[in-house]
Amino acid sequence: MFPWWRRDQRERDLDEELSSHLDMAARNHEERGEEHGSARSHARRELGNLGLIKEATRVSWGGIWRERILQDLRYALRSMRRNPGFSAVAVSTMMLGIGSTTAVFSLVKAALFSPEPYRDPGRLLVLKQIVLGDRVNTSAAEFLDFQRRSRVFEDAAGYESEEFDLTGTREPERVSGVRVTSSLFRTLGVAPLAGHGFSAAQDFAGGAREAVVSEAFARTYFGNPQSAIGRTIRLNERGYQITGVMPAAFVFPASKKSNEQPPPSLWLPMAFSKDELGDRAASYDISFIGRLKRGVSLADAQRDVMRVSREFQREMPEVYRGDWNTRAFVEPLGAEVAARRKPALILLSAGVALVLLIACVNLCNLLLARAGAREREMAARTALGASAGRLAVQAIVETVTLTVAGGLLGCSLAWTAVTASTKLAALEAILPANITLDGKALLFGLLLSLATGMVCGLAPLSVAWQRGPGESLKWSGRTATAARESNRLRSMLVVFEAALSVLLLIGSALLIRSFVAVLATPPGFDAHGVTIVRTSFNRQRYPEAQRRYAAQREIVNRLQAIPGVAQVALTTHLPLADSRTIGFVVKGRDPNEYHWADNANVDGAYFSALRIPLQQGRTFRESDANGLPVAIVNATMARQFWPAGDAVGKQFLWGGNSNPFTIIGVAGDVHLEALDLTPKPTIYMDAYQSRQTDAVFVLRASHTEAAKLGAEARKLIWSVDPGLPVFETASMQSIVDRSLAARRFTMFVLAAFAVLALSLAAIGLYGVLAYMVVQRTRELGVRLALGADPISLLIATVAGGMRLAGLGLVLGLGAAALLVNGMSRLLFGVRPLDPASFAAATAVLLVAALCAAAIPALRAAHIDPIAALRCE
Amino acid sequence: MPPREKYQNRIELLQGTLDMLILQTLQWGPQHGYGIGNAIRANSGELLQVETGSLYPALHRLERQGWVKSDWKQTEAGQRAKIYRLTPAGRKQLLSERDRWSQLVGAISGVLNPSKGEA
Repeated sequence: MFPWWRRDQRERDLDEELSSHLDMAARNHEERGEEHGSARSHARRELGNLGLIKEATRVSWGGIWRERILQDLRYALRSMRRNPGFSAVAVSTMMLGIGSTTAVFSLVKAALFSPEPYRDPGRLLVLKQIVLGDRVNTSAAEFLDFQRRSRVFEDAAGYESEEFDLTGTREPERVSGVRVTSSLFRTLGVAPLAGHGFSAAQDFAGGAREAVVSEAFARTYFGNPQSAIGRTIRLNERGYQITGVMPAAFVFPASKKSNEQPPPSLWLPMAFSKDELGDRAASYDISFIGRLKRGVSLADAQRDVMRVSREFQREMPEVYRGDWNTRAFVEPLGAEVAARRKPALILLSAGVALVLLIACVNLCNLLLARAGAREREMAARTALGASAGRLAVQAIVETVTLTVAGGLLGCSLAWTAVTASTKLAALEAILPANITLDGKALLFGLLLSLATGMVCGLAPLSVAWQRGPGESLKWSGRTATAARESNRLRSMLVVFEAALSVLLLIGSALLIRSFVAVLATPPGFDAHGVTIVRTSFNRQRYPEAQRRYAAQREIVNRLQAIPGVAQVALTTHLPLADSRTIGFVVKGRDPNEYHWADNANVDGAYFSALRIPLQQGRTFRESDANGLPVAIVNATMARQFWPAGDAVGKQFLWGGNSNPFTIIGVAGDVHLEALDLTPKPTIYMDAYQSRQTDAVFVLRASHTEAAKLGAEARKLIWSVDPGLPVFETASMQSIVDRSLAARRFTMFVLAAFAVLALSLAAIGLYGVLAYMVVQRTRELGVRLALGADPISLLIATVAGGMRLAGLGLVLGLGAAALLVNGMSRLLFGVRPLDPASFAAATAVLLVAALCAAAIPALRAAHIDPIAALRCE
Repeated sequence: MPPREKYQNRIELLQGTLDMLILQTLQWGPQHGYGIGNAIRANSGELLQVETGSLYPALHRLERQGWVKSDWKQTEAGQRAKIYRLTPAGRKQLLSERDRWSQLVGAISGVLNPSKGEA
């Protein structure tokens, strides 16, 4: 026996065996007295058809299919070489389809669902509580109790993000850091690159002041991770010794929004203070992250944390009042972000699928056209004895070779595109670092190219089978009605393509209209010509509020003196960038009835500097600073709590302040969170009555360019206090733009898909019409010769194309009407069944179809009857 | 192409039986293809003509299944020929095929002569 790849040896063996058989038979005849020549021919006759014997024996070797596939593959490559133009079009259609979609899908997935860089992230859960209907984290005491009492976690850790002023290095800087319990690195399953983490003693105040820093931080300040260990850095005016450096890929907590500040660069011991531990329900600052024990389900964990929460309520009814309705729940890490981004991801994935589908349909169309041209070849081969199965396999191998070649090229195209796009500055805000091509998308693309090849290979055959070889051979290629079935199939495919394009067109039209609507939404303030400068007055540097107020007033005065600055204001939080929620009780109502409001602490000039209208009352004045607490509320809050329009003069209670806040004014609504979210009740407090240490200076320019103002402002701030960290200067417009980055990205990608889909559909339509015109050249020639008007031929051809497009349009509009509700969460300011979007999609499709039909129609009208008749 | 059809049909018809006849013939000792064909013809009183187009596919199939093995050897007449011999697995296969055959013959004769069967 021979292995299958030694087929040639086996073939020789069989030859020898048969020739030895012949020799023996001939000798036998000779022995019976026949003469040599006739004995030999006698033996030959007895043996029968040598070729057929060999063929039958070869079948018994098995594995014949392998042989045949190789043969078909050789044939396929040969035929690709024979039709370089066709092959190039087919391969590049597939390449563009697979390549662009795989690349975009990888980018979208990376942008929306970057994987968490921790060990076995699937087992990481976050614990949240619902108090008074609001999602909150845990207080320090609650965190410790949850950690101690829950039974489902292998490890659990608490953390709180904070910003620190880093001083003593170069210029004072603001860095984001995280207070963490010693269990954090163990829970996440990530060990420091160098040095070590914290000990349990450091979870409480009094432990050593140490820090673990990010790799980037160590590199920036100390050259390399090793040399950072043992060094001391000053944070909020206190020394911390660096004991560990985390690996470069480690990011914790992963940023929730793409437009948030840079990832944390250092982690400090939790060091719970006595005060912090004493106040059980005052603030919920500690986030809880736990690693599930193996084999424990999410539902088990849910039951377990709920059990602990009930224990709290039973044991401490004075803290957990029944009407607070406190509950605890767990969810997978990142679930919140994932849920928010899911609609966009689903939409873009659907877009990818549609474009791919259209590319495949186009290819199928192309192959059908070619199959029509090759029908006689196939018929001849059938007549010569090729079995239907054998022909089918061969056709499939041929098309699969084309599509898989395209698929492979597409994958390398995607690779290049993804690599290149990570270097695009425009995408920086949206895409996380180190994106790679998505393996699943790649596999999907390749499988799809394989499947397309198989389906497209079979489709033309089904047409040929219906007809049978006799009929195919009969036509001489002159008949005008040739290949009607094939044309019908191709027309159906074009209709399908048009319908899919309409879907994508409507989807992107809706997103574009939403984007326009978002842009047209009055943000409630005027960002034009406004520059912001962020700094912070930390308590170590400014222990008394009065000193801080003085410095702030001084800075405002100096900034005001910059030529070209019209107004300067001060706030703690900026719209569309950061927000804070506080709970309050309305004075004179049920003291147990808590309400929630967004909050920023601003000075008197804030409203006019940002052009936020004051609808009632007045703004803050300097004399308020030393008086009783005052506040300005937004219109929504005024309407919601004092519908009679008499908010001014009313009072509410907040925080530990024994004095109630008196409302002195009502300001217009401002979109604090996002342009596409309705403004919530908002309370502005006086910055000069506030304990908040964050400060953003808002500069409205009269004419100077914003960029210059930033540098100037920075210098002036340092002239007041060289130790103040200035960590962001930006134009207000750029902050507005950043808040729209994700929406803009989704819109552009879907619009790109729609354009791609539309051009593919147009090419498909063009192909079908052009092919029909070529097929009917003789018929059209005859008609022209008989006096037909070229214009009427032109119109007839265009009408044929428009009929297909129109049918696709109707199908697409119908499908869209059924499907658009699915994307309502991504829309803003437009209804899913937006007539304008549907009309725009219709118009764009019809124009594209008209362009696609025009070229073949012109050709039909310009046929020279003499030439058409002579050419046959 | 009618001849091809014919060959294929005959292989199909004879398959089980031909395999058994070949294995039975090889039981008397190793033999080359030509010799096997001759032996079957001779032992059947010239009734069974084994076509070469069936014989060699059958031999190669049997070899693939491991029931026979082949070697190139010199015949007594001094000619090089591919000699087939029975393997132990082939011997077992022969026994089971003979069993099946006698069952089949019994069953068919039962049908053909019902009087001799259960009365």
